[in-house]
Amino acid sequence: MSLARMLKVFRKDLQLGPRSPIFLWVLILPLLITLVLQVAFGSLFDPKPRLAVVDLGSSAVTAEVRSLDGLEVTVLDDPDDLRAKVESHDFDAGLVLERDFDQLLRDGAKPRLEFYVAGESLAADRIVLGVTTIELIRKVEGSAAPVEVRLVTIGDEGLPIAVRLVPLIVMYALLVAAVFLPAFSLADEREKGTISALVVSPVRLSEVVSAKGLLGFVLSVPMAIFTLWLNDALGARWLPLLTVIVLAGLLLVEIGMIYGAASKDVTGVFTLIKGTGILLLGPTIFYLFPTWPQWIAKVFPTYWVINPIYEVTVNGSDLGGVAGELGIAVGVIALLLIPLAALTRRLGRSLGTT
Amino acid sequence: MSSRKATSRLTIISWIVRKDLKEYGRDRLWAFLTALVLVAVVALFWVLPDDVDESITIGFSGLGEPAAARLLGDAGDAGLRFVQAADAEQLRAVVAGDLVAWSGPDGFSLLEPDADGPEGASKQPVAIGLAFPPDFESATAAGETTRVDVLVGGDVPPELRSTVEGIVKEMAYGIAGIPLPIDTSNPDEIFVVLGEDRVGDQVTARESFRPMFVFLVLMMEMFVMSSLIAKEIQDRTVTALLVTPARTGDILAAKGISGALSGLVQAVILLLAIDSFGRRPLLVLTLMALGAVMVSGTAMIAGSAGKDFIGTMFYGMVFMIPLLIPAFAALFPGSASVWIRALPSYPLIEGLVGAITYGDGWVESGPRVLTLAAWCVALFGIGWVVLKRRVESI
Repeated sequence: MSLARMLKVFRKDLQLGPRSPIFLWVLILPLLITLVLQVAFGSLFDPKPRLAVVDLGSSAVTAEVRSLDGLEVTVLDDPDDLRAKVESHDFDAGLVLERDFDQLLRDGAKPRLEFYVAGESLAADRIVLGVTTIELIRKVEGSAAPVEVRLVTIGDEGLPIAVRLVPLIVMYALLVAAVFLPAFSLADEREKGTISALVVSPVRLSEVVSAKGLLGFVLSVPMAIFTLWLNDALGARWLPLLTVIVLAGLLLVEIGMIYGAASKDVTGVFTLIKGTGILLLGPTIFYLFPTWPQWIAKVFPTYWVINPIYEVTVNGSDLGGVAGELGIAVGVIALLLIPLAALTRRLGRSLGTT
Repeated sequence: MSSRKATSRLTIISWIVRKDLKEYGRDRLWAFLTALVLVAVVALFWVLPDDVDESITIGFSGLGEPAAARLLGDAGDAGLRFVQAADAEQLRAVVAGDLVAWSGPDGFSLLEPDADGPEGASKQPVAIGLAFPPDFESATAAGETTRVDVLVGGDVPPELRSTVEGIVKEMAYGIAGIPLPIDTSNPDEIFVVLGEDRVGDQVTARESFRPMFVFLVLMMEMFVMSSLIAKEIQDRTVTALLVTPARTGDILAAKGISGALSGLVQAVILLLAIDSFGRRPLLVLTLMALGAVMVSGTAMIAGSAGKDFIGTMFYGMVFMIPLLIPAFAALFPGSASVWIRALPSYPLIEGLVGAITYGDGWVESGPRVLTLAAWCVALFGIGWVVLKRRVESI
């Protein structure tokens, strides 16, 4: 195999590639998936009670409630607007504080409180927002509680959903660049017959296949890093990060080349991806549901590259901490060379080059 | 003569429709994917939870039976559930997950994690515990300050931690006889529920995902039709059709009909499988028929624009992503933003949610049906023009 010839094919693919929509997918999809999963589904998995406040004076309750963790607080100007938005469940509850509310409170004049609840709000959210409001009013009034409350945390704090989504998003970025791109590119050349033209030149089939893999690899590594950066999950350890991403890129590129070599046309690649996508994405689902038996994730081959990425970026592991998993990943990469070589030979036979 | 002409046009169109549907069936990839999506969506629908647990379950220890009944008795109505532990140590074990609470017809029981629960009982996660001192009620009533430990699991969110603290404080205020510092002369004015009160009757995850699933099947149909149109253009079989008595208009009409028909059939199968016709079958069917026409129009545009399989898929995605946004938005509470309401699929999703989930009739759904119909005309018209130009350019 000649490196120079392979690089020539690679340069050709790099120059012509951007004309293909799949290149756009490679660039856009990580951004889109991050947006959809983190912005949209993030709040679906982990909804916060939503409170609207209309403060007709300048109550300290408003400032206090805005500083609380775990609530979505919006300050509105008009009580009628607040009532309409609570009724349509844009907010779980709404609070209207009359002018001089704090002064009346401190004077013991018992001001009137307007607290509206959306009919569609959950009972638990009503309790959270109701009790929180009462507690803040008591605080502003200045009365000391006749009880001491000590908060005792038991067990480790769970990771927020935004962090648990990172493996899924990174895996998507890797899949599109490292699997889809080489697979579709190879199958497209086969479908259009251009691969036959290539292999009658001095270029060998193995060099064409390797060039496709190199293209996927070269794009997948920066796209994975870009996706981690987008999700604020790059971590501080660059050497372990690069190592785990490079190995992930290699493993997935091999899968992409296998798909490309096994398919007669792009439709075949599409079928393969649809049929086996769950095997590739499977382990990332287990991060979303930490109560599921986590050993099942280890059955999937991609676990051995996605978990090291997770450990290095989220848990701050060094290479020693993920050495065992990376060792298995290298083993999987070596094993995948067998079907890749066999399928490339079969492709060569079908093209009449061997 | 004109009647014979009209009949022959219809006959030609029906021949092309039959040919298209046969081709659809013969295409193993799309036939497989269509079946796969239908089966997967139906399976996923029935796996989704059909209830909403909107209560907070809290363990407690240290309160004797009469005090517990007095202090916590009415709280269940407000969305709180209390599980009694024998002592603070057992309470800690429950919150740590070393003991599991089972809720059954005879109340709660605490068992080892690997033990089978009582018949008809279900596991009840308890992530919060209140360890009261034994003299909590008497000491607080006497004006003494006692200490209550609030035990929380690591994954309890901050708003719930502060709420439970607040609940304990309010219990103490109540025992100590310290009233609320606000005007409570008319309790109905303080806590006003706006809109239909759905506590205990919330929209479940299964209900929320229903429009999304129905729309996904329609979108799948768009991919199939656009791919078949693109294939026909690439293979130039469309030009072969034009040397028969069929005119360009017949081919376009046939494409639109076969696209809408196959989309509608799949949507109806799905709606039956996920029990979605509900109280308004005709309205739901009308919405789906219009939805099928809309995706048929977009399929004509995507199929004309894509030069090959990947291109067609790409253009399909360009349509699919914005059209799916209203279905995503329906998963969230509250009204959709103005820009989401401006998307063509919004009246379809809103109509389906209204008719299936809330039982809206023709009167409430009328504006949605009309808006959707207008979008159908627009998208189908654009699809017609784009495909016509593409066919004529070959």
